[in-house]
Amino acid sequence: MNTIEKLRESVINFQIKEVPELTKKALEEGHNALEILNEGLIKAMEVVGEKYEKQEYFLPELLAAAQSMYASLDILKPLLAKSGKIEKVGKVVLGTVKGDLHDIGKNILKMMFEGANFEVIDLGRDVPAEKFVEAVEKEHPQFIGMSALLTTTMLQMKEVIEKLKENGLRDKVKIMVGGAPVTEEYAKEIGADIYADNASEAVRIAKGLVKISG
Amino acid sequence: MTSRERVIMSLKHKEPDRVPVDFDGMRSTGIHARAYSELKRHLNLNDKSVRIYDLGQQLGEVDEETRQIFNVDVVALKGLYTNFGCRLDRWKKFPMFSDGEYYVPEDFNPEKDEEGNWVVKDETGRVIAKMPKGGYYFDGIYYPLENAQTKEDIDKFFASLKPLDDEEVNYLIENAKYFRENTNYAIMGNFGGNFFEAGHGAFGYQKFMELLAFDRSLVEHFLGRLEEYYLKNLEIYLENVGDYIDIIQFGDDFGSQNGPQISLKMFRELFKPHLKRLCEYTKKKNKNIFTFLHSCGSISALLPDIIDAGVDIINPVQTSAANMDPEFLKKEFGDSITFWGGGADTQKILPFGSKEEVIEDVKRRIDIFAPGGGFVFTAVHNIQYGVPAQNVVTMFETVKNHGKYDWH
Repeated sequence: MNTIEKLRESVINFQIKEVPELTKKALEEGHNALEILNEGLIKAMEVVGEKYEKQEYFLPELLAAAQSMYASLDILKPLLAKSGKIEKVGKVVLGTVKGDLHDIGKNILKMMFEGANFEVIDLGRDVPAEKFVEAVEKEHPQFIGMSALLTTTMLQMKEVIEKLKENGLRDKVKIMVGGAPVTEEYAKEIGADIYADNASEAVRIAKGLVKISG
Repeated sequence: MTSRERVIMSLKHKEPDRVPVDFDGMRSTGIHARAYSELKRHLNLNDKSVRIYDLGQQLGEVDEETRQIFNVDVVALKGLYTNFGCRLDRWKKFPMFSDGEYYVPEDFNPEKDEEGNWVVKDETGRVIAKMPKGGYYFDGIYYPLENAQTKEDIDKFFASLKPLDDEEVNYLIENAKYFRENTNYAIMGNFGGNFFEAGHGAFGYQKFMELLAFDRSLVEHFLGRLEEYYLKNLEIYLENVGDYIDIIQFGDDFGSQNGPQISLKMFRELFKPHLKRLCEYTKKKNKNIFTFLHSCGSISALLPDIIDAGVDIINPVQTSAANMDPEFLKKEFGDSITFWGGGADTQKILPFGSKEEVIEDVKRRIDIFAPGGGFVFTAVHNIQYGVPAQNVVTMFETVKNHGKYDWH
């Protein structure tokens, strides 16, 4: 097993203590940061996502693997920045909707997107519709992802979509919704484009769409 | 047949005269204060004011008049203290929401911050909980062990926890005695005793979940100390009010919408042994008490082990989660556990359904869960703000009309 493969395994198995060392070793061996990112971290998080969807992994393992990924990414980031423009897979704006402080789901989605080499703009929690609109105007993401845990706040998702329409931005972005009370049916009803059951599936769908649109 | 007899009969998996009903017997079978205020106005009750006794979830205390109207069979035995260390024996009027009349514990003093959010501060001025502007709940945003690294940090935290004192015990005895001597309700001792959620509350959700994977020995130490603390309290509790209560309520949310939050293996290794010891201790002290576990989400994968741990009753039976289909649950586990909940869907039907849909939903669930007993009717979790009062009334009316055991 070469060093990058070892790194991949330690991320998958959340051996966070080994991760920085293996990352440095891979760099010393002459692998560049982009290669380590693509072959090590992104591939590792794909496996982690699959394990999560198959219920081989649960939230503790998923979160621990994501933290292990960051332990390497933190070392790679400055190098990637130095090496010039890094090709990101896509850009996504994320937020938990207004009135809702429950951001665990959104945070997991953020990790999975970052693990798949997307650029993530995280608006945080309790985000009013105007903030989503502003972010779409300013950042030109391909996707916005909205999360809600409450039946009382998921209604806000519709509000965001309406506001985007009012501002002529609805067709500029694919809208992704999720969270405990949100169903595929509800997503359709409010005119969202993408519904996913879990973070891993959401990222998989987004990757597929990016490929199609080239 | 009295309410208490009815509940106990169902808990023994026999059919009483009608399906027993719970409304606010514990903190996951109640109603949001604002929804309750609306309900009281809708029913035109004599007293339309609402006491908010659970400050986090903002639950209104269901009172006697409402219990009578809806044929409720259970009453909660609450402790003296609620969230943020507030006492439930002194109340003051407070404009928690713009419509309706609300009372909160006298020592509950939330403030509005510059953005219009309600915030709760501790004695040092630190914000420990927040209700976002236009929101309906207070969420904790301070975790005492968020920076904990060592077993010593955990020990320090436990040293600050005090077991039930005389004042709290007297409060419990006084209320338990009152209910037993003046009412026929089944009494649910609201004990708590959660492990998994206590971890989330102490360390923060994400940190605790990561620790479960990264540092098992630290987690084991925490859970061990917690069990010691709970067993000490349980001893005091059962010695003082064990003869008054019919049910003791524990709670821990192990499920999520799609499946358990942790693997079965992790549940077995880390959490089940503690839950089992609470159940065993209860039965050893008083074999007549039924053990109750609240656990949200999809937990059918854990149910055989929950039953094996000695749990008699499961709540809230979140049938909208994955693998929680009512027929499947009743067929698979109906003989070995009582379903306390699952009576009406709270994620879709109650808030957004028509009257006819509510009736149909409740009838179908009664038809599935009620045969052979082992069922206490209550909605899946608390009734939230936004649920039309008419749907709440329809739900309870449907139980009245359809819940009689005269179908054979």
